[in-house]
Amino acid sequence: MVNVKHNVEWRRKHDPAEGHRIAPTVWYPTSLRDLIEICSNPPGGLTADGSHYALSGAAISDDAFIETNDPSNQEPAMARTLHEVLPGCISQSLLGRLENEPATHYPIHVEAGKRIYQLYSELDYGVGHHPDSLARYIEDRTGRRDYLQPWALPTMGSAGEQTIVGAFSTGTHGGDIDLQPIADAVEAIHLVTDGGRHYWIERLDRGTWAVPLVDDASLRGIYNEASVGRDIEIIRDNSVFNSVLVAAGALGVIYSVVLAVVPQFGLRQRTDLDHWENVKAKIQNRNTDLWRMAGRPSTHYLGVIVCLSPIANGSANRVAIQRRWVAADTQSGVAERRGDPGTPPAIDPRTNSYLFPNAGQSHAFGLHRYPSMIEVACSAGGFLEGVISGLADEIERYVESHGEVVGAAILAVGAVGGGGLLALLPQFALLLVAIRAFLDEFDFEDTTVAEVMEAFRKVLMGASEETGLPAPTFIWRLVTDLFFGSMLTDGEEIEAVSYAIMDTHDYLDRNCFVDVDSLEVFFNSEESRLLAYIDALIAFERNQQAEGRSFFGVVGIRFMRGTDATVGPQRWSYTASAEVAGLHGVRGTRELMDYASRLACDLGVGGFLHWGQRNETTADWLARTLQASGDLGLWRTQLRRLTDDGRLNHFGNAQTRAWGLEVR
Amino acid sequence: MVIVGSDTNDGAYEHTFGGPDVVLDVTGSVWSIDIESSPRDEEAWASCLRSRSTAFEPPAGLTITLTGYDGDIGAQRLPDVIRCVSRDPALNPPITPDPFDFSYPTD
Repeated sequence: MVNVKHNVEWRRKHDPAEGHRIAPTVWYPTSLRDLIEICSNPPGGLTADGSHYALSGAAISDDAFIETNDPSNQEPAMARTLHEVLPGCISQSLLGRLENEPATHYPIHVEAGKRIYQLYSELDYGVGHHPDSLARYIEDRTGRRDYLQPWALPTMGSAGEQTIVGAFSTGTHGGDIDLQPIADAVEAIHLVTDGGRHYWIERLDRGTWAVPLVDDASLRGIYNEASVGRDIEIIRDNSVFNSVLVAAGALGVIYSVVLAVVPQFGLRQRTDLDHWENVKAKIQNRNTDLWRMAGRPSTHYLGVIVCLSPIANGSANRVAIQRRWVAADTQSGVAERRGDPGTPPAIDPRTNSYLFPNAGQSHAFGLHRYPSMIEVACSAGGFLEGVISGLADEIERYVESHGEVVGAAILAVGAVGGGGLLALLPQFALLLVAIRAFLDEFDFEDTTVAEVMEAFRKVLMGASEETGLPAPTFIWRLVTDLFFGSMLTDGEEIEAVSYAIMDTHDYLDRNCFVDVDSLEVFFNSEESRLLAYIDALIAFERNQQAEGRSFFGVVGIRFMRGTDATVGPQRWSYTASAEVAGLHGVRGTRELMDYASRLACDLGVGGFLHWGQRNETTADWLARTLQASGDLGLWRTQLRRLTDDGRLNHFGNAQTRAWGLEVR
Repeated sequence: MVIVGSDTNDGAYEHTFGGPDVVLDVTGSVWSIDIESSPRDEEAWASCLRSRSTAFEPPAGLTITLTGYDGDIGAQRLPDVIRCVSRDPALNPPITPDPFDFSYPTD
């Protein structure tokens, strides 16, 4: 009997508290048999969900929801690491390769609800702790112990709270410049479709091992009508595999996946501050020092975080460049981000997985809180009070010295060569009084960054009738730049185990995301469209600051290789993504996000949006965007195949139909 | 210059070297443009698009530039250039210089 609840309050992680809906039916399966039972005779529309991280409507079912890992950690999850297929049904060809070749990769088989932080913790802890693991099986057969080493995800997005399937099936970015996104580490998918049919889907002659992963007869021996309610069907077809890989849930519910993981590695990360105007000239040229830092190994990861609020008297924008290199240290960050599950290892009865005390329970690793202002959105209190207080002190020195003492922030946001700021001294003096009063009166406790910043913006702009707009705008730019600079330290370097660097999420700021809006648009990084997109956002922000509004957020640019997924957003051999994220509570953020979305959806701009983030594209847009490649037709062909020509369409929902991810 | 899918401007527009620029105001939800040439005025017209770039720069803002070759395929002498400037203010808001003066004296 599948665990089910009715009339449940349901919302995505980023929805406001009042934004919940009542889900008539929510299933909490814990096994393949449960999934097949649910899908055999669905009461209406079905959508599978994991972490509820999605911002798009792809997560929202027409009727019933299937939760693979309840975000509130209350209901049983479908999140085990499996051993019944690997090694239980392993093909002789794969076994031969694993036993006779260097241990450069390892196939790990997990259920769909496995969260990324749980997966990377288990891999690092060691896959051989379970007596039935493939690593132990190989050791027993050959004496080889190298598969017992710590393993790692080759790449990932920047947060680990999502389920592995939710992350890859919506097109989550990578960030490692010569690696495909995490979706392309998937080697096999176990899919359950409308009607209860279930498929084991592999690549054909491609992938890490380029051989069948399983012995068909063995697989049919464990997944048959008697054991799970229905006989399994086995497909080895690249077109099917690539269509299922990224499908925004429209093809069915994924029960489990096999991923090819790599030996654990360390990463060293360096942060440098620069100006967008310098960086943009180098983005399309991989021979520049942006891509290759003198005296360093090949850059593994490159990220550019852009602050849209201008500095240098409106002529420049601050950026932080983050580069990562593969490094030797695989121990730093282990205690902080994973922890020891004890001896014998503790088991979480909800997920049937090892219980790591700090996985999903810790701050981001590093000397400072991680660079995204979004990441500290719940811890505004003392931090922002300090930023604003420091700002007030600097303005006070500037005013009292009649413009003689120019602090670092003023130096950065202004520019040498005129007397514009001197003319604003009386207005600064008036605003200083208002800022001091704000610091005295505002309750910084239990407030979010958005709440503090919007209150501060109102103080500044509220005085603009008396002071005019220039002085409040200058101070706003100061506080924005100070905030950005406080999140990032020029020249800072940290080194740690891979996941401590790649997973930048602060798990202790649990409530700070409710006000976040974000979208991610992908471009061909060898073309100029990405640069035009960022320049347009900068221009929009400058225009709206002239009207007293301001975006409070950042744009994060990452670089990666293209995906094999048929409708995956990483569509080009060299792909760049621009993730625009801001806090709605500050007036101007919604306006910029709306503009960023309009621009991203424009066919002339030519981007491609992440399926799981804000995505307002249409079926017409998708058809035209994929017209030349024919990829939409290919994808729909597989949809027809897996849904009996569209008859079994309960996994479509209002959003996927609006996108045209349906039989047509 | 060949336009397809516009509200009212579909068709082929010829431009000869030395002649005046062809300026069009094209509307439509989705339309496309191509650049064609007829080498030595002897062969049939054929697409000669060599590159496409997108920029957001003053004063025009969002601009897509198509560059075609002239004459034989791949020739780069006297390239044909089409500049498409977005006229949708919701997409291409006017670029205004920063209206503020936040400068300070040298010393």
